[in-house]
This record gives sequence, structure tokens and C-alpha cells, in this order.
Amino acid sequence: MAVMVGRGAMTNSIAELENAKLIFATGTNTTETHPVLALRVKRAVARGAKLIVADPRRIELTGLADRWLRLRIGTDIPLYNAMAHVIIKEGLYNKEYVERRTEGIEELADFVKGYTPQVAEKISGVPAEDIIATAREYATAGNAAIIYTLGITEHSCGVHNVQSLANLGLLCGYFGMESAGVNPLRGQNNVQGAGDAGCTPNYLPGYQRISNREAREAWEREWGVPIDPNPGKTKISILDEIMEDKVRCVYIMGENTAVSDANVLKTRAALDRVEFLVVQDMFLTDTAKMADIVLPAAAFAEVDGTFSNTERRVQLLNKAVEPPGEARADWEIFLDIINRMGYPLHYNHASEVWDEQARNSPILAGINYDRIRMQGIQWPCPTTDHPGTPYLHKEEFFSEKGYFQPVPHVDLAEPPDAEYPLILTTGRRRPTYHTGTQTGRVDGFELLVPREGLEVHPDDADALGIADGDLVEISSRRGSLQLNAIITDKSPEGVVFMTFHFPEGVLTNILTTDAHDPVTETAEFKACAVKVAKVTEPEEIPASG
Amino acid sequence: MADRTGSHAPFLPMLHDAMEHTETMSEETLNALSNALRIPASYIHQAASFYHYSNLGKDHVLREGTCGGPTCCLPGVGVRRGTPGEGIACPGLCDQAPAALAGGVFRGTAADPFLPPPPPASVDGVEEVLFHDIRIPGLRSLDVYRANGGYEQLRRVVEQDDAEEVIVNLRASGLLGRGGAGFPLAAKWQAVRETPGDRKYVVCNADEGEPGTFKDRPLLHLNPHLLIESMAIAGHVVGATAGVIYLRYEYPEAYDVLNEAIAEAEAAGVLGDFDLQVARGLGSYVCGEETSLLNSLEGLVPWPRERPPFPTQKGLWGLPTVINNVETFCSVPAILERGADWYRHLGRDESAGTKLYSVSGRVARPGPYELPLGATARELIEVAGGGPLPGRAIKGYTIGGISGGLLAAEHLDMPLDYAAPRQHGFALGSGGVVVFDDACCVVDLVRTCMLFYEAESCGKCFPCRVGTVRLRERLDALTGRAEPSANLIDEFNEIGAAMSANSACGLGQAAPLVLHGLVRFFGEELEAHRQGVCPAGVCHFL
Amino acid sequence: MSVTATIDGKSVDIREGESILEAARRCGAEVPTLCYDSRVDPSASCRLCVVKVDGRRLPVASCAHALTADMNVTTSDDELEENRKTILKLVLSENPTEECRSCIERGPCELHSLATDYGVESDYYDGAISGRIPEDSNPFIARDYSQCILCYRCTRVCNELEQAHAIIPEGRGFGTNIVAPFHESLLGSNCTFCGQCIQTCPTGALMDKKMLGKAVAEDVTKVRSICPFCGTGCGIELNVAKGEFIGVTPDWDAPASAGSLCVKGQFGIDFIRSPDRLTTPLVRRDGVLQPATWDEALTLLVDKFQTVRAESGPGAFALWSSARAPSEGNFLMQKLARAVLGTNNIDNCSRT
Ligand SMILES: Cc1cc2nc3c(=O)[nH]c(=O)nc-3n(C[C@H](O)[C@H](O)[C@H](O)COP(=O)(O)O)c2cc1C
Ligand code: SF4
Ligand code: SF4
Ligand code: SF4
Ligand code: SF4
Ligand code: FES
Repeated sequence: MAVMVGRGAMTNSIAELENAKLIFATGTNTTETHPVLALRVKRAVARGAKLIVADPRRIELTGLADRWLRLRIGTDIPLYNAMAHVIIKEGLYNKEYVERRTEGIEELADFVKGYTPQVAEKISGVPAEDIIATAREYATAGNAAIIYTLGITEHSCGVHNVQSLANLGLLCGYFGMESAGVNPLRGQNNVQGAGDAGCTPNYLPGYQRISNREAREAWEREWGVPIDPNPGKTKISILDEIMEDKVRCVYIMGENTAVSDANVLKTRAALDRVEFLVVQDMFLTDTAKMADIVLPAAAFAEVDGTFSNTERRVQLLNKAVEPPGEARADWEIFLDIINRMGYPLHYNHASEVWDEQARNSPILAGINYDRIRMQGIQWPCPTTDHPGTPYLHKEEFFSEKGYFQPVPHVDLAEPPDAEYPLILTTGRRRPTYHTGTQTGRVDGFELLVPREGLEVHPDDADALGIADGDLVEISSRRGSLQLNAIITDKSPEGVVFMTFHFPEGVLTNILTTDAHDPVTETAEFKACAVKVAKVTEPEEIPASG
Repeated sequence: MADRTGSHAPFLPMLHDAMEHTETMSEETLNALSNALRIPASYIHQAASFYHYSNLGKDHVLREGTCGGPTCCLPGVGVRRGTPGEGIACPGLCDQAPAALAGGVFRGTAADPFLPPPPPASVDGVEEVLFHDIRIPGLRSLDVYRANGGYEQLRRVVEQDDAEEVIVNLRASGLLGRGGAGFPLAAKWQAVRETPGDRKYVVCNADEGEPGTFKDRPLLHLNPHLLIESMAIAGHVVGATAGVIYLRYEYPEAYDVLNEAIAEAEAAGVLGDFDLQVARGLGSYVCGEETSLLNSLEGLVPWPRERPPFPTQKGLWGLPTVINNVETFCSVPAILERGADWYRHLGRDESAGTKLYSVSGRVARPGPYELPLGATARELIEVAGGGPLPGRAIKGYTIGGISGGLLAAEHLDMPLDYAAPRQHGFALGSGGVVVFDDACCVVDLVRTCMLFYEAESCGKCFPCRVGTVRLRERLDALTGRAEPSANLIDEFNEIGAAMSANSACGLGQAAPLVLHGLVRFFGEELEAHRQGVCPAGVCHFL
Repeated sequence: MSVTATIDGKSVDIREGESILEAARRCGAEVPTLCYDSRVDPSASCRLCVVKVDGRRLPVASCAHALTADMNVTTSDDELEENRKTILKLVLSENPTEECRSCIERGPCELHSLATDYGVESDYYDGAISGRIPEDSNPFIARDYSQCILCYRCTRVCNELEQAHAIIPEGRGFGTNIVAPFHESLLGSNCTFCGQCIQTCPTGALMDKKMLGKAVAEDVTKVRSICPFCGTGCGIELNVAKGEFIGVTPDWDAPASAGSLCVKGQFGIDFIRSPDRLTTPLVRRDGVLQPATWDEALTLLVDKFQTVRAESGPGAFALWSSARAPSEGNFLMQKLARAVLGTNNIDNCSRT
């Protein structure tokens, strides 16, 4: 989305969702991944908002929806393109807005001509009349909000998915409107904050491109050292560079890469191979076990600091308890290392670290700890008297205009075939979080989702001779593992589902593919080809690679 | 499960269907209901578990029991009731007490449970309007009804198509709602007529749950077309094409009678595009409260709604709705036929029209009687009701069924109109009167009344939910079932005041009235009980 | 056209959708409530909020009535206060008289604070106690419905706000009980263990089982923080007693969540107390990770970094930050990469 309107963050606020007249939720199992945000959606529905859900799987939201577009996995683009087709063809788009604020409508119109609802129906399985009705309702709602999560981005075509979706918002003038917009829901608590802080290879803090000389110079002045003007390498490229021995030291903070990565065996091979691995974490995770040095980190409750949530709100953490033993706040550890590396540096308090980040990041410059003591502030917030920005693009985009992006449909990176006839898709469940490093250590949570299972459609189960609870072996081109089958029609025929929360028992990402989006390098978690067979002799070891 | 989702109010019929097949409702059945009705299963569970005769959250449907109501528990009439939950709620057979439920049928002692006794010729000016035709054999059939002038008024209203004129007439007639609150009918219809909306409802309150009240019973069982015609007229006047009759569970025969009559009328095409359905309750007094009734129809828990908005603005499914009592509706055709003036002058003094009174308890000829509105209690009890039982002296009576208040023999000359009872802070209500005599204990009677309120309190609001129980417990003590507390009268007054002023609906507001009557008019008998003596010899002290 | 009303003699402007209660509180009137929770539809159950409105025969529940033009409202007089007191006596009388565990552990509950305000003790109107206590071994929510006053806040929050539809009033009148339909325990019911019912309960009927018996109210301090799990960023209060984390309560003022939490934020924070927490640095010696001092570990680290940098340049480093760690740590990791090691090979795990 960044190439279209200059920013990839949630355009609007969580609370605003409640007043949307229509919510188009696509590829988001919001009630499980963002339960409290989902309450806003539920309340909007209770107030009479229309809810349209596009998802291959039956989820809680589909039960609340006025319409459920059950598209085939990986066919988002034709669906959205066909909606754009209808909106343009029927003249339902916001002409004044498109005229004044966007560029590229002709190209888009031309491009989506081929994506008739009928064509999209063939590819996606969504009936043409549902596509048409959705397009009409979305365009004429007055204010319609799109929300999406990993279901859209965790594909090898993630960026294109988002762009074809954002085209719709741009067409209808929903960028820059209250209770509307196009809203990616960030999965983890501080994805936004890590991005804000410049933890990406091509952006300095505050989303300033590394290639932007002015920004670079500001930071160079701040730090007193030159900054490499070339973008760094993404994680996925680094894995290859490790295998080529180009990268020798890897420092991982608070991430269980060895479990959560797609095609995790490849990651493990790289971490095994790397010469020197430092892991900073609260727990001895599977990743930490591979390290040469493990540094004990304090938990959020043991430090002062900030998280930025998915609506760009910088919020304050206050230290409540002491860290156990000698564990230290992340920033203090880095401060120590930086000094030891011969770069003298001193902060009295976490707030000074924040202030340094903020003063050279125009979108954060107005935010400081004192201002957010009671309530967080949403960036952009350029000055200390600026109230923050509940929704983006009100008057203008970050880029000069809104640029439409015609994007073509591409097939799944790894479509099912004769040998691997099923599609595996992965997801989350509410009481568990990510790899379970934290939630796996909460008393009582084990009762909520007692055991991971592989969800298999009853028809597939019949064909494979699998009964509920049977031990099955699921294999992809990369590996295989065993677990129990749960027979349910939540996923459509031909699709099996599991989560990646339980590394101890079941290492889901042994199976997933690391085919990735060429721009963001996000891997295709949401679809890989697998086969499933009943295991006759139960084995003791559940995972075998 | 039959698909009834096209019905105006599918919940109750579907719940009845679902109950047919199981002793105890299972989670699967509940979920099936939830899916069919598109109401969350939790709400259905809440709603269904509410009713006396549902089998959800209980281990079976109640099929046997004797009546625990105030009339049936009077000495010499039925059994004295012991503890809460004992006995069924009053099934409206107080004139044939003791009533009982057996094999799903409610029966009293009378051979014909529905036919009202002949009118008391000796009451001055008595002219039956509602009961005028009721003793005509076969009146339930369309032909007989028509042969006696039936559906003429509907035809005229439709033909003349002058709704304003009808409302003017009804206003001039002075007809007030007969269900209890006495709200002018014309004003209600006018309000619904004027509320914009292309979909509106006409709902008939045939819940008749008030103890000592059985006046709608003859109309519902014997003259269904009169009600159907009246509701169709209402529909035409207010602009509604859909109607629902909310019929109490305890009148199963009327369910069939009404359905057959509707089918017959529809087949004959007399209703035009007015679509009328019957929904059968499942046992709950509070469902007679009009907003509870609407919630009950919608499949929500039948707690009363806060007003405003009134049903005339937001009624069934949030649409403008006329709700009237059976008797109120059924008065309309005669008014249209014979004129407002004629009707108005049927009543005594300022009162307009006739009223269906129910008299029961310790009288010689209990039953439903149609008298001029404003006839005195004495006329109803001594003339129509045949006076006290041989050798007995009337001690007092309750009005409004039991919810209007409690008076002593000295008040027998009080007119049973809307104004007179107000002087005591009481209300005419449904026009039911329960008579007790010197063989009865008034404290015990009041306790039985309180048991009824306690059992029927919906539980929505604090003062009534807890207050009814606390009052009954104190009456337990007074009637020898526990130790009375020292400051009993203060407690009665405090709790009663809070209930009357703060309760969310008429049930809790009215529940203390019998107690007020006791404290005010039967102070001596009350005091004797505090000393452990029951002058009537009914209560046994520990 | 008038757009004001009068409350206790003061002129008040009318606001769209505002109830008499909200308007009265806005202009400083103290109207007691027990069943009110601004986030859900009023059930108008407690009847404490009743006020007198000119032209109405009976007092009306201010929580459930809109303030409309020209209304003249009285929120307090002797009669209103007397009846409020009676209602408080009545509800107290349906609960056991022993000291309320909410008051002991969480500080005065709404019910008992009001009772204190009104000078009402619990020994009035002796009689039956209501509320069936289910046998529920779930590890999160303690349900003692003998303490319940049937304000229906929990069930409205569960059904209307959370829309979990897990709990509901069953039955009628005094015999009403809060149940999870067909389930004695919340485990196995629709309950998502969001804990919202606990947080709204004005009595000790619903308590956080994890916090039960951990501390007395006087020892507890609440520290505002943010839930560390998902991107919603719900506001939480970390409850701390004697230096120990004991549990979570919601931050009602947090803009994203407005007091709501899910099971993770509500009950999932005790991972920080896990015995598995790392308490010292570890360094690999003889192939095994062994405890070390910070100085040992960081000396080793820095030596290695210096060597590699000298030998292979900045391109030999890769740093992966955490989408879970606070921004300050992320910022300094990126500063370490860019300003100290000289590499832009900094990435975060937001892609998974
Ligand atoms: C607890 C309670 C029970 C009631 N039961 C009945 C009833 O059984 N039948 C009835 O017609 N009205 C009943 N009412 C009165 C109705 O609420 C309402 O006033 C009536 O249906 C209006 O019709 P009307 O204007 O024709 O009287 C009851 C009211 C209360 C408070
Ligand atoms: S007064 Fe009684 S019946 Fe009426 S709402 Fe309150 S509890 Fe229910
Ligand atoms: S914890 Fe949440 S879901 Fe469970 S009963 Fe309470 S409010 Fe309902
Ligand atoms: S458990 Fe608490 S919140 Fe729920 S009804 Fe009882 S007192 Fe109210
Ligand atoms: S409480 Fe739940 S919804 Fe809120 S931030 Fe935490 S995990 Fe997300
Ligand atoms: S707050 Fe209005 S009745 Fe409880």
C-alpha cells in the first residue's frame, strides 16, 4: 500500500470501526487474532452495519456476516479486481475524489476490464452476483471500512493482494474518511513500533527511506557517524547469505525464528551454520537453544517503554515489577553493548531513548512520555501541541497523489498436484499467541486448546479413510509430521488447517513454503501443497523432519 | 421442526413444536431453534427457561398439579397452600374452583367450563353487549356468527373506508381499555394510525393471567369471530395488515377454536388482506404486561420494556403496534353498530359501557358477568354472584383480580368503576373480584396472593424480585410458619413503598396493594396474628 | 424551540442519545446505580437510579430514559432516597452476611460502597438467600452466585459487548440464576474467558481466580501498561502487591479497548512469573550453554563483533529485532546496527 498512498499502516482508528456503515473483512480471523478489536466490528453489526466477509474458512465472523464470500485460497486479486470492474463500469466510484486526488484510473479501468465478475467467479469460486452485490454495497455505503490481516499478506503475492484491495478504497474515496479506510491489522503488539523505530532494512526511524538524503543526514548529525545509503538485506536474503558464509554474526531479539519461520528447517539450517548467534529473550526458546550467547531480557511489565498499536498509537508501558535475577531491559543491554563497542552513549531513562527517536522522525516528533502518560497518541504527530491523527490521508496522501495499481492474478506458488493434492493453510487461535513462548507458560491456557490438531474436511476425511481423532501424517515437499485429525467443515474441501502455536508437539512450519513476496519477502504461510495419510502404527515422536 | 419463520412471531409456535418431541429440551434442539430463528442460543435459553410450562432448564414439562391461586386456596374451596412453587399458577377457572391440571388439560368443577351463567336480571339496567350472543349454539362457526350480524361492521368499515370517522365514534363512546390500565381505546388507535410506517401490527392480549379473572374466557372459547372481526377492524383503522393473538397457555381449547375460526374466515375471504395468527404462551403471568408480551412474541426473555417508547411507536419488532385486551376489542363492533351514545349510556354515571366482571371465592354463584360499568361490588357479589355461602358473612374482597387492592365488607357499596377505587389508592384493573368470608383468614389470603406474585415476578428488577419474597416470608411468619420479626409493619410499609414507586412494571407496583388493604382495613386480624392467634382458625401456629 | 431541560433546578442542554442518568451525572448530580454499565443497553434492574420527572405518575429509571426538551427532573428527595435505601436493604438481604471477598481483596465493591454511603448494613429483612453456586473448576473465573444481586451486567456484557453468548439468566424471579446453558463449568461452554464479566460485576460474585487470595486490597497498587500480545494494544493495569505481579485489571480509559480485554490480556500475563524465565546470561562453553555474568557474556560478544567487523566488514552482521519488544529496545538495536556496526541489515519479525 505504501507505493499507493505513501503509508502501509492502518488508515483509521479501532474505535472508528464501530461507526462504519459497511465493513469488508477479508483474510482476517479478527475474533481470534484481535478479539477486542473484533468487538468493534460486532458492535457495528449490532448497530446495523453491513458485514461482508471474504474468507475460505468458516470463522466466527462469517457467522455474523450479511454475506460470506467463500473464495478459494489465493484468489483475492481476481475478486477485488472484479469489484473494481463493477464499481468502474457502473460509475459507482467517487469521481470528484478520483479526479482530484488520484492518478492512474484509466490504466486501472483498462486493466480490470478483463476481470469481469464471471471471470472472477471461475477463478475464485465466489458467485458473480455476490461479487456484484458486494461491489455495489461497498461503493455506495457512504463510509465503508476494509480490514485485513495475514490472510491477505501471508502470501507470495501479499503486496499485490493489498494493492488490489487498496484500489477499491481509492476508487470510492474511503482513504481520508472517518470510519472508513483500508486497515491492515497488525498481528503482534509492537509490529508498528518496530517499524516506527526503523527496524527494517530500507527505512530509518519514522519511515524515512534510507535513500532519503535529508533524513539520513539528520540521523548522521544525531549519531555523529555516516550511514550506509544502501538498503540492508531482509531476513530471507540473510538466510541465503549465511549459507554462503557471507553473514557471520546474527543477533536475534525476542523472536522464536526457529519455530515461526516458514520452511523452518531452512532457517534452522542457517542458524546452525552461522558462526556466531546471539539471542536475547525472556525464555530459552528453541532459537535461543541454538545460540552462542543468550542474554536474559526483561518483560514488558518490568520496564518503562512504549508499544505502538495497529492504529499507530504510541502507548506507554510503566515498570511494575523488577525483572527476575539479572535480566535487563532490552534497551539497557544494547546501551551496554554500544558503549563496549567504543561508542560512548548515555541515557538516564527509556524516555530519553524515545526522545532521540522522536526528534528526528517528523511523524513522531510531537510525542513524548509526558504526553502519553494517560492516553497514547496516534502518529503523525509532528509537534507537541498536535493532538495526533485518528485517520490518515484526510487532506492529502503521504505521496503526492493516490496511485492506482493494476495487479494481475497469479496462481499459488505451490498449487496442489497429484502427489500433494491438498492445500495446507495456517492460522491462530485466540488463547494462544504466536509460537506459544508466552501463552504456553500461562496457567490454565492448556485447558482452552488442549491439543493441536489438523482440521480436515469431512469429504476429504472420507476419501482418505480418516476418522475424527485419528493420528495422521501430513507431508509437504519439505517435511512431514504427525498429529491428530479433527474432522470439521470449517475449511472447504481440499484444504486442511492447523496453527503454529505448539512447537513442543507439532512444528507446523516444517511444512510451509518459504516462497515469498518479492517486495516484502513475506512468506506464503497461507498455502502450501500437502498430502495427508492415516498412520496405522502410532509413533512416539510426533515431529520428524 | 416445522418451518414457521414466515410467521409474524415464530418463536412461541416453534418452541411448542420443539417441546412436542422431548421431555427435556436438549442442547441440539435449542441450537436448531437458534439457527432457525436467527436468535443467539443464549437468548433462547433465557427466554425458554422462563416459562412455567417449558421443558428447558427443567427435567420435564409440568403436566399435573392443583391450582395454587388465591381463590383455589381459600378454605372450603381448595387446598391451603404450603410453600412457594407448590401448585400451578391460576388457570382462570376460579369460578369452578378448585382447578387442576391433569394430562395437559386445565379443568375446574363445572361441566361446561366456558359458558357464562345467565345474566342477573335483577341488576338495574343490565344489558349484555359482549355476552349478548354468547349463549347461541354454534356461534363459533362462521355461518352462525354471520347469521347474527357478524362481520357486518368490518364490511362497513372497509366499504366506507373512513378510519377517522371510526376513531371519532370510538372516542365518543368513552371506551377505555379493559385489560387493566383503562387507557382510552380511541387515543391508542389514533396514535398508531398517525405513526408513520408501512408495516404495523394489531396484537390482542388474551393472556388473562390475573387471578380471579376469567372474563375473556367465554369470548375466546365461544365467540372467536367477534374478536377476529374486531381485530380486522383495528387493522383497517390503523393501517395494519398483520395481527397476532397472544393466548395464554392455560386456554388450549381456545387455541384450536381461534385457529379454526381464522381459517374459516380466511377461506371465506372476509378478512381481506388482514393476516391473523395465534401465538400460544407457555405459562407466565407477566406476559400479560403488554411489553413483556411483545418480548415473548419476539423470542426474548419476557421482561417488561421501559416506556417510552410505547408500543404505539415501537411495538412488535419495533413497529407501531396496537395492543388491546380481548374485551376491549370485542366491544368495538357493537359500538359501531349501535352508536357511541347508546354505548356510553350503558354505564353508570360518568362510566361508559358495560364491563365484564369476574366474581369468585366465597359466593353462591361465582362466574363472569357483564354489568354496567360502575355497578357496585354489592351488586356483583350479592346480586350477580348470589351472595355469601349459606350461613356465612362476607368479610371482604379483592379487586382487579387481586392486583387492584383489598377491601372490607364496609366497602361493598363502592362502584366498580375506574374512579372509585383510586380513592383508596386501588384500581379496578381487570374487573375480577375474589370474595372472602368469615371462614377465611385474610392474612392467609394475602399470603397466597404474595406467593403468586413471587412466583410470577420476572426477576428483572430488584424491588419486586426480592420484595415479593421478603413480603411473603413476613406473611409466612404471621400465618404461623415462622417467627415474626418485631418491626413487621415498618418493614411492610418500607418494602411496599419501594415496590410501588420503583418497580419496573405493574406487577411489582401492584403487589403490595393487597397488603396495604390488610394493614389498613384488617388491623385487628393482623394484630391477632402477631399475637399468634388466627381468628378464623385457619392458621396453625408453631 | 427549547433545547434544554432542568435537572435539580439547573438548566441542562440536551445531547443526542443521552439518558437522564448520563445528563444528571454530567452536571454533577450523584445518582446511585448498580445495574448500569455504559457500554451495554440498560436493563433498568436495580431501580436505584429512579428520578422524578414532572408529569410522570411514577418515578422513572433514569438510565433507560432519554433526557428530552423541557423535562423537569428531580434526582433526589426524601422519598427517592428512602426507597433507594430500602432497595439496598433488600439486595443486601439476599446475600450472605459474611464479609465480601471483593471488598477485602479488590477494595470496596460497588454494592458495599453504596451501602456504606447510605448507611445500610446487611442485617435488614432477614430471609432466603438467592443464587445457585455451580461446580466450576475453570482456572480463571470464580463464581459465587450467593453474592450475586442479579444486576445482569455480566450477562449483558457477555452477550452484547463480547457477544460470546456464554452466560445468561436462567429461570424467573427470585429463582433466576446466571448459568452457562447446558454447562456447569464455563470450560466447554461458549466462554472465551475474556474476564469482562468479572470486571463489570458490582459484587464479589465474580472474581479473578488467579488473583483470589493473593493479597488484600490495601497492599495492591495498579500500574498502567499495555497488553503485550496483539496489535490491538489494549490498556491494562498490572496489579502489584508487595513487589509481586498478581493479576490484571483493565484500563478503562484506554482508547483502543475502553476497558475490554481478551483472555490473553486478562489472564495471560502470568508468563512473566514463569520459573522458566532466563535470569542470567548464558554462554556456550564446550558446546553447552552455561550461566555467565553479564561482563563475561558481553565481553565475549563485543570481542567477537569487533573481530568479525575488522575481518569481514559490516555486511557480515544481521540483526533481527522484535515486534514484541518495546520500541526503545528496537530503536537501540537499529542504532547498534546502523551507527555502531555500520550495517542496514536490520529487520524485524513482523512478517510472521
Ligand atoms: C403484570 C401485568 C399483567 C397483565 N396482564 C394482562 C392480561 O392478562 N390481559 C390484558 O389484557 N392485560 C393485561 N395487563 C395490562 C396490559 O399491560 C395492557 O395494559 C393491556 O393489554 C392494554 O389493553 P387495553 O388497553 O385494551 O386494556 C397486565 C398488566 C400487568 C402489569
Ligand atoms: S416489577 Fe416484577 S414483574 Fe415487573 S419487571 Fe420488576 S421484577 Fe419483573
Ligand atoms: S469471561 Fe467473557 S465470555 Fe466468559 S462468561 Fe465472562 S464475559 Fe462471557
Ligand atoms: S454475577 Fe455479578 S454482574 Fe452478574 S448478575 Fe450477579 S451481581 Fe450482577
Ligand atoms: S487483550 Fe487481547 S485483544 Fe487486547 S491487546 Fe491483548 S491480546 Fe490483543
Ligand atoms: S441503573 Fe437504572 S435501574 Fe439500575
